[in-house]
Amino acid sequence: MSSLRTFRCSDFLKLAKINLDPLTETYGLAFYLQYYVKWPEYFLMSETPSGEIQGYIMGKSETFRREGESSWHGHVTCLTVAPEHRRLGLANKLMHLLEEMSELKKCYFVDLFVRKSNTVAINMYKKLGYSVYREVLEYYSGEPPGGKKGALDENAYDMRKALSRDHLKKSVIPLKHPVMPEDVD
Amino acid sequence: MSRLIYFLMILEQQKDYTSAYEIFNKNIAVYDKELPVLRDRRRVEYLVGMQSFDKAIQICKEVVLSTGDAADWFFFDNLITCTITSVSGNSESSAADTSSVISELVSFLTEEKASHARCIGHHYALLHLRKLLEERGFDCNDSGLASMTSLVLAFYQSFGHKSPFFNYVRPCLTIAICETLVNDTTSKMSKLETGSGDDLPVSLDDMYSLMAVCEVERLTYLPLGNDLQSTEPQFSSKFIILAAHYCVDAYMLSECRDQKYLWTALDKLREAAEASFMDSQLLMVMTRIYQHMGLVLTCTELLDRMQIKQFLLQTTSWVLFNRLSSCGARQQCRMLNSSLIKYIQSSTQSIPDFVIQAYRSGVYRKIVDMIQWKESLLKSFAFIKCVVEEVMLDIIQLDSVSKFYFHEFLGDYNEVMQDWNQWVDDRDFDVSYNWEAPDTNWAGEEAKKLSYNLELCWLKMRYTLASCLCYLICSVTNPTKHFKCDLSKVSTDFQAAIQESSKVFSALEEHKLARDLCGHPFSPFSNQLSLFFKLRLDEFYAELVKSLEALTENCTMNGGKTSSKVVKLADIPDPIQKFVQQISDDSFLLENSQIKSEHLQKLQLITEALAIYVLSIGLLCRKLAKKNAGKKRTDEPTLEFPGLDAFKSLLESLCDNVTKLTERIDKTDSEIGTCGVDVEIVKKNLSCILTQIKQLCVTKFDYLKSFNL
Repeated sequence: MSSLRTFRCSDFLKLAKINLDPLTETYGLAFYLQYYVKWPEYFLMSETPSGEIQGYIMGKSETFRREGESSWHGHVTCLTVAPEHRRLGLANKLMHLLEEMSELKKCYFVDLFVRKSNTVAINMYKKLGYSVYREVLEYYSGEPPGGKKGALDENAYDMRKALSRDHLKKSVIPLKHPVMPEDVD
Repeated sequence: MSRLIYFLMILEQQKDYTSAYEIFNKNIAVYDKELPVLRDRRRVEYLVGMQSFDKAIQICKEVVLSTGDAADWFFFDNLITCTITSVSGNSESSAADTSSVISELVSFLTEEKASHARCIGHHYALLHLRKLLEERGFDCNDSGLASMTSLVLAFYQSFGHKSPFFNYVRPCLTIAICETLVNDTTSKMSKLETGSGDDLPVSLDDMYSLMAVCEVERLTYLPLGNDLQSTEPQFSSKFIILAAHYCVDAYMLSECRDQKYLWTALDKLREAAEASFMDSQLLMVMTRIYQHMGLVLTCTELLDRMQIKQFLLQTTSWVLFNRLSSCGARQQCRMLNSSLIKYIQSSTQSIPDFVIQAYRSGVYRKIVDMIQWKESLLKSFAFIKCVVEEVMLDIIQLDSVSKFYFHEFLGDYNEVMQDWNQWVDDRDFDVSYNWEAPDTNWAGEEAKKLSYNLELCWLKMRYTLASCLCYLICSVTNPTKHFKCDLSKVSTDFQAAIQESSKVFSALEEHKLARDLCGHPFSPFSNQLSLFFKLRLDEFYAELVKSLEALTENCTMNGGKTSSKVVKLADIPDPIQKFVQQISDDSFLLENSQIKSEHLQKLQLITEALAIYVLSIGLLCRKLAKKNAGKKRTDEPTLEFPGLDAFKSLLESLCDNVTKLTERIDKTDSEIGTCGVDVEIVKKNLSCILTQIKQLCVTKFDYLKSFNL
């Protein structure tokens, strides 16, 4: 079982076990602080009764410059759960909270990027109601974790879930063709 | 809204929860950027602060009832704690009333558990309640609550297959419960992991049988992971990690600490890592074993594989890489040191911008948090250790102009020494912690605290020595510059640091835990101080610093007359001379090209001492040269160093013996050695370290030559 709370700076000292997971990216402090300050409501931690951090989610709400107000959405920047706490429904719980927050902010949809090879994550998101909106070519630079050495940059799926404000679900109609990273806002 | 939030923060600081609760309910709840679950959490926190337990209990029950399987543990915990606190704090309630209240809580939790059979929180709440009631001396028989053993068994039957099961129930376990659990369950894993204490294996035969069991279980579970991605931990990996720990225990039990057990552990771990390429737990256990064996180059390769960077360096640097510098892997050390220093410096510099941003956004709570975080970064033990080691590396490799930052390093001296205990221990032992050995708890708080005291002493000695040397370097290169600290004070502090280290070290030798963990691969105690005293480097450095202090401040030359100054720096201790000779013995190189890691650490300490000795000679020569610059003399006074020939002979022996050792290692057959030793890895590591040592010796020779010495 888990307790939910907002992120604190001292949590950086406890994230080693989670962030050593190969599919969890470790960014510079400035990146995390940007989310901490601008979107603190989306920066949530889940911990055990003894205070051990089980996982966390980072997100934001934004619009795409080229699409205007109708693209107001929540975005999942990072979602990770420590290996020993997986398959307990924590990722579901954290995603649900992010969606709830996005609903409060009257977003049209929630979107995220996921490695095309990460079938476990893709299936999880599909179960949560997300669908593939578009494929982004060479979104992740360098070889995929656990992949062949010298492999090219990896493609990503941009997955979306429409929220209540988008009752016609226009935001999740998939694109027919893949796009390049520069086409993504 | 910003003013309201700010006012709320002030009320919380003043612990005026009543006013805070009123304001929160009337105003902030509508506007504050918080999820409903977090708003309820804040309400409960205020109510508990107000000691209004009934209302807090009501909110907790509402949340538990409404959110069902998503109920936050915080509300269960407060529901239980507030109930118990309210009855224990109410002196007017009778035993019957108390029992009634608790029974009501038990009924509530039991009903909820029945309707949410798959929710861990509801089950665990009953365990937690039972534990708290027993701790506070309540009679649990009338409450309708089952026994702890029954609750743990029921919890196991529902959730025993989940990874964190044992960590959840650990606070509730007793020996009696463990025995029941082991007898009643069919899982071998639970039998292996129970760790109750009395039933532990204590012989090598026991270790072997357990390793065999682990191997069987691993092969059983291996096919289950066929559909897992290569980046996911395999189900079978846990048995491998357990087997590795048993191998380490066997290593500790064996006579003469036979390294074949460590190679066995590494074999198993490498095999498992092939199936689970990026399992960080496997890699971490491997790193700690490699480190213990002095195979530090392989550690840095694993570091690259694990992509340890940014804030991860702060907490893992000591645990995973503390042997890098002590075994002489200087280049690898530099990479780590510079990465961590860069992270801390760039982070502390960027925080003020985010504080301003937080102020503009109205998220005032974050401002306090970020400022405290910035202060803690500057007090990080990992940070100061890296800075000191980096300065020492620069000093011993110095052969020309001093680095500009030596002066800055000295600038903070008084402030740092005024409160030496300000450093915060940020070593994270949990990162490689997946099996708690019940007998010798190398990851426990006691071991961590004791080892930290030792580390602080060692660091203080290094810091004051580095400061002495920096002072001397700066006084030669910038003689007119004013220093904030005084050399005699720094020198005195250094002597005091040696005394303190000696006392702490002697006390620790008497401590049972430290003795038990001595030589354990996962031990939090490093043996640098032990080797430092064994080689009598305390006497050497004490004498050297005293001589340098006296010579730097009192050195005068008789103008116009021929004079020579005889400079006696320090005697090279006998243990050092003996060790240098020992390198040439056949027995120094063990079977399969192995060298004891203790020998590598001694080599590093000796090389460092000799390099500092050479530096001291160079500084004095340069000081004399500066004094005489521009003066016309036909007969210039000279510096003589008695013992210089003997010193040069020692340096030459060290260089020659290290060269011969490298040649002997290169000649060793590269086929897989006996007892599973990977000779290729051993040779690669040793060649790298010995090459760096030899290079340093050669540059020191050249440095002496530049002074015609």
